[in-house]
Amino acid sequence: MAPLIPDSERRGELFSAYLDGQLAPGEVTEVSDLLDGDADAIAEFRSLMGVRRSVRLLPEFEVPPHLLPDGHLGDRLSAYLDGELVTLEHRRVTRHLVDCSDCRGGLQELDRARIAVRSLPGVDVTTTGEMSAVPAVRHRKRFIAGGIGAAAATALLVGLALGNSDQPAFSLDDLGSRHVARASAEPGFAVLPPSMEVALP
Amino acid sequence: MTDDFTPTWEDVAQRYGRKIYNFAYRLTGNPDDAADLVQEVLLRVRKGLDSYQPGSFEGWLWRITRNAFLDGVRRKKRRPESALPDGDHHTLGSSPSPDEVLASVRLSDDVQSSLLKLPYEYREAVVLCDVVGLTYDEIAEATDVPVGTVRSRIHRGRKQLRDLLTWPL
Amino acid sequence: MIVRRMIVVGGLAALVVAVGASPGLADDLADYLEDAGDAIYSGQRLVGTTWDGIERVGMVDIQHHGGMTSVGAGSDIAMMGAGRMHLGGPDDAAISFVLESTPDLHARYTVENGEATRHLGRPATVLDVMEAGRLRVRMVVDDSTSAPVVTQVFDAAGDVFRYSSMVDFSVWVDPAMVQTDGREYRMMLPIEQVELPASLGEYQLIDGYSGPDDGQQAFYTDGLFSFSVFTTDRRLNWRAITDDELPYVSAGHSYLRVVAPTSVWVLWNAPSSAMALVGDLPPDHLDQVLTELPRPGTDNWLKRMWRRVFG
Repeated sequence: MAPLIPDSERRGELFSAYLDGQLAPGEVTEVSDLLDGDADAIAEFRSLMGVRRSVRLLPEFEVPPHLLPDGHLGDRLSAYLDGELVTLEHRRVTRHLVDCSDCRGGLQELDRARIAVRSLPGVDVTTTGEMSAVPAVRHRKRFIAGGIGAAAATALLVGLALGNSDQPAFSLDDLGSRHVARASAEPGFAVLPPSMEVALP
Repeated sequence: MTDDFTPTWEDVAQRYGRKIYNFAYRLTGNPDDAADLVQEVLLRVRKGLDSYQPGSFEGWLWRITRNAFLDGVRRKKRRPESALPDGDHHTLGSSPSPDEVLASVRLSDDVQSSLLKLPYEYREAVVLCDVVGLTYDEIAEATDVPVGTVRSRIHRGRKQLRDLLTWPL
Repeated sequence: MIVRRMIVVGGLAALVVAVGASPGLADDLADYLEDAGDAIYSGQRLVGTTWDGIERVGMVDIQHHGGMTSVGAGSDIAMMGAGRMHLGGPDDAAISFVLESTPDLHARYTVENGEATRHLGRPATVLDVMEAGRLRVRMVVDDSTSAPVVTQVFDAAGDVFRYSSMVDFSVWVDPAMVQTDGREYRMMLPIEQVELPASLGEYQLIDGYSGPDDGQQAFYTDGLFSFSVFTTDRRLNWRAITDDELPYVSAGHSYLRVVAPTSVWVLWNAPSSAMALVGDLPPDHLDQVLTELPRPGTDNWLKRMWRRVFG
């Protein structure tokens, strides 16, 4: 099917639609062909991605409360897991999840409830089958701001010292990196993100 | 929402009030217009829910929203472009850090003022896609144009935005 | 099984088109894990570990493509896959492990379930990884990409000990991620003599390497979880502690344990070497493994250090 618009327009349109997840079947091939080795095309793709992001990152405002009926806003977690929240609302719920352990617990509970819990032979569903996400005893809960961070933040260095050596060898970060690198060769749970838990010295 | 589910007016307000408000805000840059729109839409939804036939709820809602918006514009005899309000008219939804607030206000002013310079159809398409989060099909339904037109409007809107925005992306 | 056609375009952009996606149960766990490794997706992932009431949570940006994963948090980025890992900029650390042996998935793991569900509005399938009749891992797998969108790892009591969930998900990645990079990797070659046992618990020693400070790194896996044990002739000494983690007691011995969102470090002085274990194994596996490793040697070494730091 011949395009009805200039090639340069079409290219940008395809990129835009790709970013929105709105390509027609078969157009994915066209996008990959266009991106292949073409620095111009890649630059255009990235600039469109940037513009799109700028709009998506616009802060979302609260509705003045007097406009809404009474009552709390309710649990959005269900809509969240259904993918029904628009990007900015989704982002707000996501940020909240990082800060709020109660809601994280709620999310895990919901995930669990949405996945049918089968009765396993020999397992009592109400006790050992209970996938409780919220531990009964919680003390010294620590949230790591900004993403993944260590229990010991950036300053836990386990130094190996012979006499008075000042060498900060054996850092957790180093151990972690080595392990993660080797582990990434195996299918296992390499799909889970490894930790970048200790900042590099 | 699933297609066979009819919400209550409160559901709509709780779940969509914010989207509706931000849709109008980003289209006009004006919190008063945005507030007016929320009220008007909720009123129309309340009246319309009685006769609502389960189908594509989003399409129905956004058609109402858009019509209410354009009616409001015609009624006020104002063009959708307005001057940007100053910072203390709106409240941010979550609690970002002071640095985040500073950075986001600076950048978002640029994006907002650039948005207002786009032709209305492009601005509306970009806002429905990137602020409200509708699919192209939903936007087509809400604005009563073919999907191809939606796609082209979104792209052209973004292209113009890109040219207007003054900092490197 | 999901059939995919890989389109490789030049060396830069590679996209995968899902053809006739009609997912059923993965034939076995090893196949599933391989599919997951090939998935293409990006997004944000919430991860967390809860251990003895200690909770560590984080949020990371993920891009996954061609068996490589890019992980970002704030301005830090790391990329890993296929035995390689590098951090951030072109001058940052980059290591590449040469593999000698290939591990097997332990026969104790089987996969069951297969119920349909949804995540973030996308069709998905629930897979349960059973370990000798107990539920060890529950995964939700995105049908069209095979990406793992939710994972729950359970401890022996059936509580969720580790959790991850994609809270934002896209089926594309930044083209920058698929570009080849010309950086130099430090090659890690397997060594002949490894001073640790060929197996610990149900984990097999796969390869050994030189470790930091003239020590060794022994890599173990059971095909699902893995860990590395580092040994060195030097003794552990505290340089600085900013956290008030309690010592970890396992079978009557004290270790230092650091819990992080996706892994754990355990450190101690054994009689002839300082040791560190790092990995993603669950608590009951860890306790089993520790009983088969040299135990903390000097009595109360940790308590003495503790007293020194805290008075």
